[in-house]
Amino acid sequence: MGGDLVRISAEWARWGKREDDRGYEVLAFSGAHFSRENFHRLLQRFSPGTPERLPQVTIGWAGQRQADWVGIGIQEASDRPDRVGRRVSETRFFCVPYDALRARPVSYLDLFTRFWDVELPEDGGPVVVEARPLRPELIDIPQKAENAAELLVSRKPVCVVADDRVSLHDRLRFIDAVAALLPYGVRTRFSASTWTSSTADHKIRLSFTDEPREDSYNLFWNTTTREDPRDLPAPLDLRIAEQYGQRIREGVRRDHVVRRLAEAVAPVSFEDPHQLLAALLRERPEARAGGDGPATSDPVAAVEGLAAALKAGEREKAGSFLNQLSLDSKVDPPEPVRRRLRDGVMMHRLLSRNVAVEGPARIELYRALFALCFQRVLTDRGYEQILEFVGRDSYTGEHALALSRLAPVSRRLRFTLARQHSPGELEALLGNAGAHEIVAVAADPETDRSLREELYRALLRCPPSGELTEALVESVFLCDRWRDMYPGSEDIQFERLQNLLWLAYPGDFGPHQLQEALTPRRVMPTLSLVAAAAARYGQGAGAALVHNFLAVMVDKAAFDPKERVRVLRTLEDVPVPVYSPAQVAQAGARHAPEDARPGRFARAVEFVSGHATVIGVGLFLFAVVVALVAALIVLI
Amino acid sequence: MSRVAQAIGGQEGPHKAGIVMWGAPACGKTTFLAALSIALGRRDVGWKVVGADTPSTNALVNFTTKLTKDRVFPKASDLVIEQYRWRLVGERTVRRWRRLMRAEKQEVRIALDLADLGGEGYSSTLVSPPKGLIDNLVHSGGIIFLFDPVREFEEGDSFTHFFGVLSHLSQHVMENAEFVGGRLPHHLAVVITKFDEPRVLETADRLDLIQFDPDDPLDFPRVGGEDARQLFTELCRVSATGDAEMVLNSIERYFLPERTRYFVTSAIGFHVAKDTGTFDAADFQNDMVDAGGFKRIRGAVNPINVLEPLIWLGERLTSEKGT
Repeated sequence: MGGDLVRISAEWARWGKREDDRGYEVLAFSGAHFSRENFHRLLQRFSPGTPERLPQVTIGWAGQRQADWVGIGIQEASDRPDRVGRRVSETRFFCVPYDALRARPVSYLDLFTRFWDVELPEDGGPVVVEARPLRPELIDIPQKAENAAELLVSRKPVCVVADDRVSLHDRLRFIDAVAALLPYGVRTRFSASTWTSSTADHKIRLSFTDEPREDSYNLFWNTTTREDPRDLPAPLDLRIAEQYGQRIREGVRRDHVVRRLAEAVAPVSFEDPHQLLAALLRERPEARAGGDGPATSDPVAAVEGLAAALKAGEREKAGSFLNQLSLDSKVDPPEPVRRRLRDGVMMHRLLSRNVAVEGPARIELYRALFALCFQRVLTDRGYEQILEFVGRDSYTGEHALALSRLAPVSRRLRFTLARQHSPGELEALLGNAGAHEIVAVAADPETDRSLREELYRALLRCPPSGELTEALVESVFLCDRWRDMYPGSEDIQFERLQNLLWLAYPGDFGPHQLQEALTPRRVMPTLSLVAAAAARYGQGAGAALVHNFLAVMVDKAAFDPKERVRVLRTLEDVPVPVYSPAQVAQAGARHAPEDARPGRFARAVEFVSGHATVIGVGLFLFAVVVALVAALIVLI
Repeated sequence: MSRVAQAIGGQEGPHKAGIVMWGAPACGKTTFLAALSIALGRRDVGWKVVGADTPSTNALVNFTTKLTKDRVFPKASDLVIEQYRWRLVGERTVRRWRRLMRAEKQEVRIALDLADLGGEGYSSTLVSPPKGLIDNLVHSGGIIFLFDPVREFEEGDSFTHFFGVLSHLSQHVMENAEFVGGRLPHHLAVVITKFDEPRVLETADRLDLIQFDPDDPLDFPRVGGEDARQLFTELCRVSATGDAEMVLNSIERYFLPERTRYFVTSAIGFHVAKDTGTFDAADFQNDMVDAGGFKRIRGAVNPINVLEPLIWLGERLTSEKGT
């Protein structure tokens, strides 16, 4: 930038009316690259309407013979009437080869200034002018220009509502400021005008106008008001536009942003807002494209370089950028850099399942990008963010494998990722996991339903052990998880709980075991668990439930002390289970364990205490009878 | 109780079932629009024209100011289509069987979603007509085709501007299988402009088509609706190239006769003699050329038959049967 003037050879056309004619037409043109019809079409495409005030300037573009051109039309009033006595206006339209500007960018205002006084050659040759190169530090960027640039990225037209007091030069300066906040290459598809008719069905992206329009974003010159179009842009376009605006505003020095955008000279279109954002994020893209690989430890540059190398099919260069990213991923970048990285990764679809990196390198690419864009240690929240970022439909086992290498902080995440990667990976993990770990993950409410099923099946394969029993008792046999997974399907819950009860208590299941299984811990036993325990207990389960579950619950409940005693006494009326019929059925003649069977004396005491009333009444009657007999004997 | 009647789709968008103007360069399209609100102001017909959005309202004010205050013609439209969203609002009396044939007032709003394009856009000799124009015509319910007899005397190019657009319009309508009786479904108002020009008035006079309305305080000559087609035929016959007859033939071949009507109009009307306040056959031209060669309006603007084509089209488009 700076230095000598830029020499520009422009094609041109003159649009107006002949003295003896009524209609406008191309009166003269340079015929090297464009035909009369070409110019007619260009003027039609970028017609702003019928201005009351002249001069006005309209910016356009043309693609001709595989070359890009920047157009600039200057419409002026004339002092001559047409055939029917109407005042004629005249437009000079210049087409500047974009290659000339690409090499050394020039502002629109400077182009206008150079063409304003130029004489059109009578011989139909091109117009040659010399313009000053663009100097980013001299471009004044008002807040409104930032807004306009951001809104343009959304692909909706932007109108600036202004009255006559805003001069032509101020309008052009504003257009230049907005254009400076867009990649220079977009000038191959950019249109703008210092005035457009509010009622015209024009195709100009950025323009000044007298009244707001319903199909455009409307900014107001003298206020900060903004009116949105009736039909808002597509959500994705809107999101990209917001990101674009955010990045512009994040720039520490505005002239640096403008300089970088002025260097982004590769032609880009508004039709793909991703490209605009990519151009903004990219630094010195052309210089880097010509390099041999990473020159800095900037991960943003490495992402861009990797994307460019993959696009160009340069595998070696891609490999070295990947190594660079692997190294970079060992350090946490600051959040603004993470944001830029995420934008770059999304833009170039580097986490896509179709990214042109194969095998272990792809896993390492994913891992490095996950670490750089999110966190080096995978938390539950980070996992959810990554899942959203990659897209649940695009997420594959390879992503899971890469994530598993980020040292997930939770057991659940490890199991989840292993299962997402492959059945073998999960099997291996389960093989090394203890019963406590498996039960704990299964009990985690955040655990995926299908993973819990896998864990349940794994538990059924576990050999009985004290650890397993303890884990299941501690988790109350996962009864709340089954209830949540199968609400209303008590039969399924029952079956699973019975299986787990058998797993925890493969031997005896007496009142003690029943009480242990049904003791409330972090959750209350569900009805299905109570039913499964009763079934596991077998005959006499009712009394066992009363004394070893209900009585325990009542005892622990926050009853009034008198009420508690009364309830407990009521429950005491139910005979205490002597032994477990289930154990009888299982153990045959030995049935109840010795310690569960009362001794003869104890049985006698128990019998007496259980029949005290009857015995008392009997003794009383016996005493009465004895007394009567004794009295008779005395009388006789 | 009054009921609001609207042009089909008139409130929903700028194009659909609205009215589109069509005509060669400098045939008077914009001036015709400019004369609309003046015509409504001059005659107590119970109608008013209202902008449906701010830009359209401003355009209406601007046009009217040009003609009345500045006494100049509005600038011709450029290559771009100008979309004006106006509404003709008025009342009409209806009798309903359900109300035992009692008369009641019904509010009527006619959508005037007018698309105006500079005549250059219609030319078929240099480029194809813009797609936006054809789309507008395809989706419109009514078309105002402006025929400039003066231009036809001098240039004889009406057919050139007419046929290219008509061909594209027919193709699009046929692709959508919307032909009615083998013809275009549109209502067509053929508006013969510049009745105030001496050559047009003389032609009408020669054919003995001039009428005077005894209720008209200005005593302006007119050509009635029943004679307008005859004048159009004669004006086509005297075309500079002789091609204008093909315009007439094409109209009759492509549009349904019951959906076509002819109107003889003038946007600025005749000059009114100061002493009598009426039409003066010896000095009736209401425009003049100033020293710089620019055309200006001499006196008050008294539009002739400007409202009628719009009202006819509007009523057709709001009628239930649409024929």
